Amino acid sequence: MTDKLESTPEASNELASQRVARRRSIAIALTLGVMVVLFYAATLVRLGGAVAQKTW
Amino acid sequence: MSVQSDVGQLDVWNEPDVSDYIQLMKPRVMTLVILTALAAMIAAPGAIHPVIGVIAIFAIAVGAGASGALNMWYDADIDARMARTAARPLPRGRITADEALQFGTVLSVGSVLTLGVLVNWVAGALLALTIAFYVFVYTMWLKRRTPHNIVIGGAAGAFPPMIGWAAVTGSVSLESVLLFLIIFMWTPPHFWALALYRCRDYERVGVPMLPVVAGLAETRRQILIYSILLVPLAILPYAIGLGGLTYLAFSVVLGAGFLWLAIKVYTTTEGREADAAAKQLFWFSILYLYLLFAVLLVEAAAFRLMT
Repeated sequence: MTDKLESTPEASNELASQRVARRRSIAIALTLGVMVVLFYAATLVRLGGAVAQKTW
Repeated sequence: MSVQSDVGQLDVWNEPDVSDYIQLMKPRVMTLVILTALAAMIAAPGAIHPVIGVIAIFAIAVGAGASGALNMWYDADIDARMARTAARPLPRGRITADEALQFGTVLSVGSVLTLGVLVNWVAGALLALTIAFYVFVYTMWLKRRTPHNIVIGGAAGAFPPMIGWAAVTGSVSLESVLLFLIIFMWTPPHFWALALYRCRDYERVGVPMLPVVAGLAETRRQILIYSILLVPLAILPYAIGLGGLTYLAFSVVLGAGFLWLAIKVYTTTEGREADAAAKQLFWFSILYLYLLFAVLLVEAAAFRLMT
């Protein structure tokens, strides 16, 4: 049944668009991950050491 | 193989890949942007934490890529009709116009905010100005209207060293303006050399590049004039203490090469030799700018390591 569905152009297109959506989701997740790391690292650098002793 | 499965495979083949999005960001332009911004960052007085420096370069590179994507989105119609650009992701149907617009917009906003929030807002504002200048002033306004398109529009490509400099110092200074001017003055002979041997392409799609509007002889003359202005300007960083003796030597020798090739373009006006001379100048101009900023970078890095 599945084989038959996949062999039709509609099914192939559906699979292709699912693959595109999946890859896009992975790319967005990776980008967000990179942004989190960048902002985390920059925050640590900007704060510097001895945070508890700082006067704000 | 059935016709139906052929159709299916064609769709699968046409799925956008990561490489298509990378191509959308004009990676070769990005490398030049990274090099010029990094050289300015290292040469600038003052210190920047390495993590913040890496973030600055990352944001500048992404901003440059974003403006490249927006340029390809807007110019997809003419890109499809020019040999040099027909293989870009939009003309090939790998990425839709909407996807390119969304990609470019998200990256533009993201890169400016990242640079502004994490580095400083002078650099962030300059990056925003660069992207806006490239997309609105060059791509949308000047490119299809005037032969001065790349003269004025060239400012967009000249901003990265100013952004790099501002990332470290938080300001704009004479030195960073000089680095801006070098790239600004370099852009016309670089692109007009390309336009000389791609003249028919530009003519066909109605882009009023100088050879199309003013003719080949006038373009050759303008290339020579800009080259004569560029070479001493590129030596000036030594005079103001931005570059050292190594920079002086490179800028003089490379400048002599640039002038020699510009004169060759000016005097060789017929046949394949004329195209060959223009191609030589085009490729040498890329090498010229790469080497100038690479030497500036290495020299400044060496100076920092020794002091």
